[in-house]
Amino acid sequence: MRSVGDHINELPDDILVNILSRLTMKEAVRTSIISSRWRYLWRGFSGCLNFDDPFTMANSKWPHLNLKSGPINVERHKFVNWVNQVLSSLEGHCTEELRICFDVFSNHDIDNWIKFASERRVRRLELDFSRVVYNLRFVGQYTFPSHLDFYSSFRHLTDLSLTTVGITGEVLEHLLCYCCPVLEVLNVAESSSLTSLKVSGPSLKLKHLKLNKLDNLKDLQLHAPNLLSFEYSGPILPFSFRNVPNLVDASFWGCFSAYIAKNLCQHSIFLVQLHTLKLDTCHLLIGDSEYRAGRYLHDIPEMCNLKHLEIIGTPKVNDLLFCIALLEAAPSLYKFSLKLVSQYDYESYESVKTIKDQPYLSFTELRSIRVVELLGFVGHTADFELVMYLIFRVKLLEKIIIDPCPTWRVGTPAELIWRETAEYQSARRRAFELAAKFPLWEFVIP
Amino acid sequence: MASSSSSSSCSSSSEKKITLKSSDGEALNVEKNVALEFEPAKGFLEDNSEEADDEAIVVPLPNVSAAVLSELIPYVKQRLELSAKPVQKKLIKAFDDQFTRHLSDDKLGELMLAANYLGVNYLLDVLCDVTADRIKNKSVEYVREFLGIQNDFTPEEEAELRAQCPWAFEGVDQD
Repeated sequence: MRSVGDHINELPDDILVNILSRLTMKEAVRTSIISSRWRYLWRGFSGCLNFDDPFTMANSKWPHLNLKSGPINVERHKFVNWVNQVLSSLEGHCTEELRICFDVFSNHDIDNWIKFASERRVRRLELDFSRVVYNLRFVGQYTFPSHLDFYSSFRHLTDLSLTTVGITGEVLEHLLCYCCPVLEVLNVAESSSLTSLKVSGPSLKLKHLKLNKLDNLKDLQLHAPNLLSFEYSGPILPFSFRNVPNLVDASFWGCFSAYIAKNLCQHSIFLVQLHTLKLDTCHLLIGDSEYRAGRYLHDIPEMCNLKHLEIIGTPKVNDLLFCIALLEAAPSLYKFSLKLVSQYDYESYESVKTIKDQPYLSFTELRSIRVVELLGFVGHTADFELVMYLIFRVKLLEKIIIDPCPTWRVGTPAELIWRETAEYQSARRRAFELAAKFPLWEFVIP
Repeated sequence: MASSSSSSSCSSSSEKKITLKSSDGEALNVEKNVALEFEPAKGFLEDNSEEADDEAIVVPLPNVSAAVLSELIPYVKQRLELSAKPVQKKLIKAFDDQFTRHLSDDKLGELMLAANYLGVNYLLDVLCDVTADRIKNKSVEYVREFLGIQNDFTPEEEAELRAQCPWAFEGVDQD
């Protein structure tokens, strides 16, 4: 039989380059040994240049590393050489994506990488100069350049993600207003030099904004007519949601989440427009007698457009009362996700009040919910009670998703390891036991 | 044939037909707007625009067989109809997926060559994607065989190339 190659060999080089640009960078480089015709084709690669920690890429197990500074420096040196070698080999005019995630300390090289991204009309740029080696986290010291000449043209940039990159509000605003006319996604995390940020501009295309762990942020202004989603974890700032008319997806973590949770009625106009809301209740709990007394539960405004509510919390009764109050305030809710924080204290847990201690809890039906997701399920009595309670209240439930993997592990190398532990397996077994009690409902247990 | 039945059902009398002549000498009747999607046909029609009667025009396409043309024509026709409507990209993607899902490797190569020759870039784009999908996560040996390429490196040359970029050859999954 004839193969695809009888025809492919007749195609011009630019089509072959087009094909290999859709592979990963590694695969594209491997095509160099296919035949002499292919030897240099990969240099035209215009796909995603993904320079991630080779250890997390190559294997999911924690590398056995010597933590003395010597080998780590050698590794950093090797990494920088790797990036430089690949970037200098490339001959194409454009690049889809440049992603560099490693604890790089040589700032001069980073300058050149950013210059490369600008010259190659990169569409997505991600820089994260941190790395966890076993249980130590190393963070680079790079500051995004404030001289604006060479990156004056990020004309094609749609996604920009900067983690542990120092960048001032002034530089970021300049990028937003003048350099990146088609930017749609902006993520900034762990930048200590970001103290003030005004996200605005006459023709701002920005749709998705994530600002995380910006400890020194003191002023934030949002004037983003096209913004659809916003994630924030940082200092409590009284910024306004008045100028984000299209925002439908909001996620808040940390103490800011607690601030929002306690002041829901102040944000009622904003809450009404949301389709998705993600809140973290962990900070609500800490030493707050008012919260324990349920003071905030009475004035939750109706969130009539909310389709998906996601809560990070514990199956303890204080968190649950808050969840339930939110569920009752969301008449169109379709999906409720509860991400249980892992490693809650089993020992003291026994004494904590759970649902069974709250005989006055409502059992009226929650009519709109179809899907309940429980992540980080341990299989403790409280987890069981919670699922049973939800089953009683949500009569039209179609699906219950139970994943015993702690959410912070999902998507990391630690997930694969965790899914092999006995602890995970026994939690999974308990999830199946629970499912067996309710044969009428569809349980999804990965 | 699918193309003729669908064209008779929805084409009005006002729609002009053009005859395309394949590499193997077969004549295929297509709507003019479909023919215009093929670069060589478009050029030919522009060069012969003084011809009063489009029906009399026969456009030679010496690089594409009748079998391939009769697959391309209904695809292009439907794709034109889809993109004329304000449909979501998702629908076009679903349509493309349906078209490419069952293509044999042989047909994939043939269509790619034809799409390149005819300048149907949106199809070429989809076919490049499908080809890339079929060689993703595969070893060099597999890719070489899939593409029907003779390895013209000596073992020493190949070893040297591997040594230049050792990182690219680490941790390759078995096919």
